[in-house]
Amino acid sequence: MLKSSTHALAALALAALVAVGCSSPSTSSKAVLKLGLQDPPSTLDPAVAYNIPAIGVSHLMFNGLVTFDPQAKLVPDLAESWTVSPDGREYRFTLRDGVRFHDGKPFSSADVKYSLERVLKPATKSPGSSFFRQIEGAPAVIAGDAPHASGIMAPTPREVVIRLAAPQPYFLQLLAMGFGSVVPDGQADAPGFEKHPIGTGPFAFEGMVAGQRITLTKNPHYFKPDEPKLDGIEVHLGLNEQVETLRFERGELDVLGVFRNIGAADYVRLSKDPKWQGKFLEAADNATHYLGLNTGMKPFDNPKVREAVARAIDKSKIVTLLNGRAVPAEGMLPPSLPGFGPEDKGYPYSPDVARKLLAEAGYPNGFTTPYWTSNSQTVLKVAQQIQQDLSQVGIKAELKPVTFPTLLSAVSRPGNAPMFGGNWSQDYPDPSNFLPTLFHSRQIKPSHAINSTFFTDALTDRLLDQADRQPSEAERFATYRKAQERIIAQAPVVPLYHPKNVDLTQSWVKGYRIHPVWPLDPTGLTIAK
Amino acid sequence: MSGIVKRLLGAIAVWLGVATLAFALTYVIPADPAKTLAGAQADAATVENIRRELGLDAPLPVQYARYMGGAVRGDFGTSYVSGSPVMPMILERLPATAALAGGAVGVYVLIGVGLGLWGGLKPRGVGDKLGVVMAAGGVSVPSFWFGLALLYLFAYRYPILPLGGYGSPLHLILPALTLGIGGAAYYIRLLRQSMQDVMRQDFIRTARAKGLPEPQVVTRHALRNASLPIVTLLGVDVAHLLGGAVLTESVFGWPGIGSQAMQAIATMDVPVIMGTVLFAATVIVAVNLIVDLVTRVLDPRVSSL
Repeated sequence: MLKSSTHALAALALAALVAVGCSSPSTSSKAVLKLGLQDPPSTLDPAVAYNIPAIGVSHLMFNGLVTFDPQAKLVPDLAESWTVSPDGREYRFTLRDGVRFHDGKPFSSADVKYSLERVLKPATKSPGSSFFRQIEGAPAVIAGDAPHASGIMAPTPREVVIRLAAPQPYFLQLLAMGFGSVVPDGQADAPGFEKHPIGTGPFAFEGMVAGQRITLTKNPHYFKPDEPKLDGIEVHLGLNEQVETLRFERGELDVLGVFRNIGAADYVRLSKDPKWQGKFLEAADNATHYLGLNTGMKPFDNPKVREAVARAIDKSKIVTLLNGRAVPAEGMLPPSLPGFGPEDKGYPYSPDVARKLLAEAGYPNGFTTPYWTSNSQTVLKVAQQIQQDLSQVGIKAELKPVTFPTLLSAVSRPGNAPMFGGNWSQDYPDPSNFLPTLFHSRQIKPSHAINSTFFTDALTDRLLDQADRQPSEAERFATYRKAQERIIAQAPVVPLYHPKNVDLTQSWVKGYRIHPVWPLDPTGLTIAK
Repeated sequence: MSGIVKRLLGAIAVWLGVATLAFALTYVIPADPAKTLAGAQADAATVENIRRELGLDAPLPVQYARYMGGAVRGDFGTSYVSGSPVMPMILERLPATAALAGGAVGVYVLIGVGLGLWGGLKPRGVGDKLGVVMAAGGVSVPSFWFGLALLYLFAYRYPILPLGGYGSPLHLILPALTLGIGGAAYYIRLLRQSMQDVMRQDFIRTARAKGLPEPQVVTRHALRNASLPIVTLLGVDVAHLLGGAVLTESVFGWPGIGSQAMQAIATMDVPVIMGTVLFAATVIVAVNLIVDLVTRVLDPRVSSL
């Protein structure tokens, strides 16, 4: 009897411990969206946030003057309306009335001026400063020579004027990026803002338990009517890819694939599981993975060699390798990017022509080249497939897998990386973020080249400069497409594929959609358990 | 006494060497923190501004002097990515890593010492055979696989323990087992052999001949002598625990200094990387010093070396 009582007590104690250990921090009656993440975002300061988790979480707490709607079109956010001067250099914004920050402080034009100048100031170390370089007086602030930019004015509390040094037809797109988020005047420079941010967004920062979770709570005074519908968002930390999937399957997380792709093995398994049929959401990602060929290095200084490489790669095999979560790339502009033209076509897969071109270029037996690539599992898998394709035409590509920071440094130096795996994701949805950035010769500097194929072509430069000045969007996009046609023909890069965003939601998640810009769009999103 | 002073001076020299090596390594890595922080889109001017703000434009000797000056005062600078001071970042994560390492030592003691002792006292018995199997398994199974298998079994398939995460003693069980099992295997083998050797010694026969009860023979005479290599191994194992913690923390999402270091490596957050290396070096050097002192107490013959 005594023995059985002891066993019963022990079982009870164990059950209590298990219950404590597995208990959920939030109450089930509230509509709280639960997501998973491995490491906490590097920062929650929108002036510095420049990776998917950091942008994804910080964006939930902030607004800019303008933003992107679900079709990637510009719509008002903290600005009620705006006008652009006939010369395209001056933007005059009328701000919403009655908006308050999460701490109750009223929002005004001074906050906008402070926020934009803060991004420019060297002390902020914002990766966003280069996007706002066209603002009058910005270069002096970026260089640390002036505290204020003459082109950012706050004439009245509800009016902001931004004056550019030269017209920039896509300036509003730049302003809609996370770097354009408005923070409260003076408060963002206080130590610890990056961990306890204050914005005007749909959710307010409630707290972070180190290593466990970040909790955001609904902003009850949010200026958009009936938004947000969720009571809060919890980001559960410390979940690696496999654990995140297992927790999702157990119903402890609501959406899978928000801040990182669903792991390849898990995706294959879940997509075959009848339980999840019809619950996958899919959207094209505005990103392009490509093979870069350094036109400043032999043998890739020869256009025939570059064309041979382009014709030697079978992109359909890569898409199969990625379990169909990608589309073959014809050009550098992704299909869902405004300005994309379906008529754009790259070189077809034709290894026989590739061999002929190599022979014409003086390499009848092919050649050997180092192939720099990121050491991430997926990228490496693709690189090995390319390596195999290239070997079929006699090109021996020797893989050099390195960390992403090392790859970034390696390809930005001249004469260093003849062939490399590149990946460009949109900062904002416009061709100006893809083509001039990667292919204009002005992007080649001895110390740092963003144009890492060191492609120098007068016609391409001319077309890109022309597009940069065209106020009509249709004309601008048409010129960009001409530039892309020229680039693809010259083949400094072989566009490989555009990845797809594939997310999986629980049946109780309503109104979830994949936004073309923001990692998580809470508009209309709710939970109905 | 002079031996202790020598050890102390040696420890300081090792620490300074590690600090210098950690600094030098950041110049060997062919990645530029300013470029990483600025992002792929940043123009040359932005990269240069960030480089200046980080103090990376200063001559190398100046950077080294700044770094060493801060390091000896326990100031590892501020994170390039978050802007937060590095030392509080490490101290914030330290309790999690300490709990994990403590749990792993618990596994060493429970499994390693327990089975080692059993096998040592009863050669070819059940405990000995179990110990041999566990020792072989513990050494040969990769810890990340073992961790994932444990998670799948005990947290997903049979959900009696939390599925990853951190916060309660229950969360600690699987990570501690994962980190500790490999080390426990060495302890099993070492203590088993050590006990078997000691039990054959003359002084054990003498103790038994004096009529000392067997438990006292084992605890007072055999275990004390057999544990000497175990204490030494524990000192060496601090490095193993800290190194192993990086992988275990990643598998279980354990918010310790290991997972923070992994994140820092991915973003080239050099002050956090160097701060973690130096912090770990300080702990390892200090523990080894303590082990030296304890060994002297356990075996006075060591003092004369």
